[in-house]
Amino acid sequence: MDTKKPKTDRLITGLIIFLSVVGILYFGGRAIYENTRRNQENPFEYDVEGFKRSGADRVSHHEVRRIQLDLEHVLAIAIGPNDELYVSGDSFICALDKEGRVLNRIETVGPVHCLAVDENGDVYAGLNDHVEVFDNLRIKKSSWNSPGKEAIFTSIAVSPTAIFVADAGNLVIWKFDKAGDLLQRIGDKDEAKDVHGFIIPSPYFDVAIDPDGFLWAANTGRHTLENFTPDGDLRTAWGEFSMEIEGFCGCCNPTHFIILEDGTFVTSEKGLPRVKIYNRLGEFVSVVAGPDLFREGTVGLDLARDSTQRIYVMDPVQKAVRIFEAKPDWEGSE
Amino acid sequence: MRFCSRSAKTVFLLVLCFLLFLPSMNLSQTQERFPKPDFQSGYTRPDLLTPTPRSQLLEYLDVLVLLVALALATYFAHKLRSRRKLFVLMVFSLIYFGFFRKGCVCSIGAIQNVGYAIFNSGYAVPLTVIIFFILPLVFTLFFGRTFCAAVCPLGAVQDAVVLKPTKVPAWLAEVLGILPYIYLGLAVLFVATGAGFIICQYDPFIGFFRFGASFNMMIFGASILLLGTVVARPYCRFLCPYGVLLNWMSRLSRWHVKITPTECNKCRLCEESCPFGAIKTPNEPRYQGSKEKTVKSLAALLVMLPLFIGGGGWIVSRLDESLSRQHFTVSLAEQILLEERGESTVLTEETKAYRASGKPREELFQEAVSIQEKFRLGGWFLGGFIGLILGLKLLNLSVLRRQLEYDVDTGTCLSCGRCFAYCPFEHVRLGLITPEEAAAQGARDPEAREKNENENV
Repeated sequence: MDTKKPKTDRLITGLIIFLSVVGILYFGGRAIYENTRRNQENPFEYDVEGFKRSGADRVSHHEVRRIQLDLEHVLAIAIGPNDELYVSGDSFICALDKEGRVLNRIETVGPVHCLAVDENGDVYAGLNDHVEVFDNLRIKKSSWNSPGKEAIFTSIAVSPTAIFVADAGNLVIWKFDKAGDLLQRIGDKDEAKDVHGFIIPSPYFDVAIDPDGFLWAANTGRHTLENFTPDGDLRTAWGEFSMEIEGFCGCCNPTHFIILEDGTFVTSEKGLPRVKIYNRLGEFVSVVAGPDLFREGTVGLDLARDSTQRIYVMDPVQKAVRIFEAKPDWEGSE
Repeated sequence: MRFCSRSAKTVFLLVLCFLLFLPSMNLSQTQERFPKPDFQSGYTRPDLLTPTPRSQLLEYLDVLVLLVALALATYFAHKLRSRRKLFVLMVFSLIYFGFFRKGCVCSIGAIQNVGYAIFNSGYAVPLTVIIFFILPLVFTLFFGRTFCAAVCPLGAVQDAVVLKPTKVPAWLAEVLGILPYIYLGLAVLFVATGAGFIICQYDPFIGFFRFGASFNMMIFGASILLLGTVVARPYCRFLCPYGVLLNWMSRLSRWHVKITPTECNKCRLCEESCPFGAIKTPNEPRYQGSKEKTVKSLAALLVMLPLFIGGGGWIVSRLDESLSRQHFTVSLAEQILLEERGESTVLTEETKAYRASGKPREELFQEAVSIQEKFRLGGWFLGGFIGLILGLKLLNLSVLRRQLEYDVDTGTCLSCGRCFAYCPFEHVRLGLITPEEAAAQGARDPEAREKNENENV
């Protein structure tokens, strides 16, 4: 070894020693700290905080009212022909006025997962595997036959001539007449008709009727909304997976959707709880309510609309029905 | 490096650098899908597969490779005295024990397995691990640290990056030389209390061997390698706990490599050849003041030795609270206590899991207290051990020994063979020069000649 090193050599050597000793002490210390600190977060947790802020500049609605529900569990909502609000829970359905006062209440034999009201005020309640019909919540008119034990009813859509019931257990939509007779089974995989079937990973499977009378269904596993002819053939579909605001996030979304009078879609999601509006072509328009308005773990935001096109969002965590109205100054309101 | 061509070493270094930094290229490429699909459509998730353990036969193959490598290293160092062959064997060990076997099982980490087996009767230490622990020690007891020279992958990875070694001042080397004893003591304390295998946990090079480690550990390891370019083998000299045991064995070794194959003519050519500072130079003990005074100071140190031991034990036993936090149970109990008091608002995965298990908290706290007591008791032993080492080092510094010729320090010499080529008598052995020319080598060096003449007088 050369002991009489030039000055530059000594300088470089000193610098290397200094840097490496600092590195050893600092990163060695950090490694020890990393292993011993108590408030250790889950290193494998997927951080979605960034996505929660997505779309914050595209909020078109604001919350105008909140109807706090004095109920243990709320499962579904629907709006009647006179804008009365129907809410279902573990073993009841109740009708509320605009102030949230209970107008009527009726007990059911089990939890009511989905609700729909026709133009006559008849309430269709989807229990686990069958439908019960109530006359304005006064008396039970009928209880329909179950299509099978595996049925899990999650949504009901009412058209002038038929009742469509989404079944997340059998992965189909049942079409009944108003008397409860089964007319048709829609959505079974049929490659000849280019119907690829429903993929429903979790028990959220919504259906709705658009202003033209066509049936729409949320194929949540595919992150699409699909449109069917009265014969059950697939007409069209739109939607894509994305954690960004334009798409549907997670494994299976949207969990719920409604269609407004002008044919625009209002969707709600889980994972990132958010309510959004898409136009008739399925193009993202705006945000009704972003994740910041919901508490952690909010899942199952059922939707409804009244005659003035206000959007009702059932918040099962805060046990409230939250009413959103378009902002007057929203640039896209035109 | 004298025995290896510059271009060969450059290529080797480039390849090594590529291998070492390959993991860092992979650090940020992982993506996860969220949330995990909850299939209810008849799809069944495939079962998790647990890889089968490595076959026993291959484990014994590792032992065989270790045995052959040790034998070859000893043969190359003692018989052939070939630095080049030791270097080639070192590269093989780096590839086999390091990158292929991913640094496990290794003799350094085996300290913990053996220690854990001693303190925990329920643990059956595998035979191969025992062999990995004992075999290098046995070889060292007979032939010096040939294991360090060319078999240990941790030593190899550092040796490969030695570029411009600087001499560490003797006083600093002595001070830093205490760290391996502390590390060894801590490692034994931690396995004795069941707190974990810290040698493996903080192995700075395992991340390179396995192409993956935490960012902090990768930079920690890289920093040691960077330091290793100018301070040869810093981990081996100033941290390695197994080095402590090897040092002890090597001091007792029956046969140890020597700088010269025959005799030392004090030519001083080898004086600066060792990058590890393991060459003892000839000296004449000169007492500072009277001999009587030196003897008195020695006696005082001997009297103070129990104080060092007791003091060390007392100090380290006071650290029981801090040290015991490394134990999972103690850490969990403290975290639960903090959460209950509202001092910690973030619930950890561990505390959630513990609460979900339904076990009573009193049971956990009792266990934590018992572990803390073990740490207190262990702290007395650890501190006493450190105090003893400190005292012995001071005693060692006070004892002036006469050194007549250039020779290796058998405790710290790694038998790497770097110094061989500096000795003119080695050149004679290789037939490169005549004995007369070798004798003249010393005479040509004016400083050496003067020193020799003085000593002769």
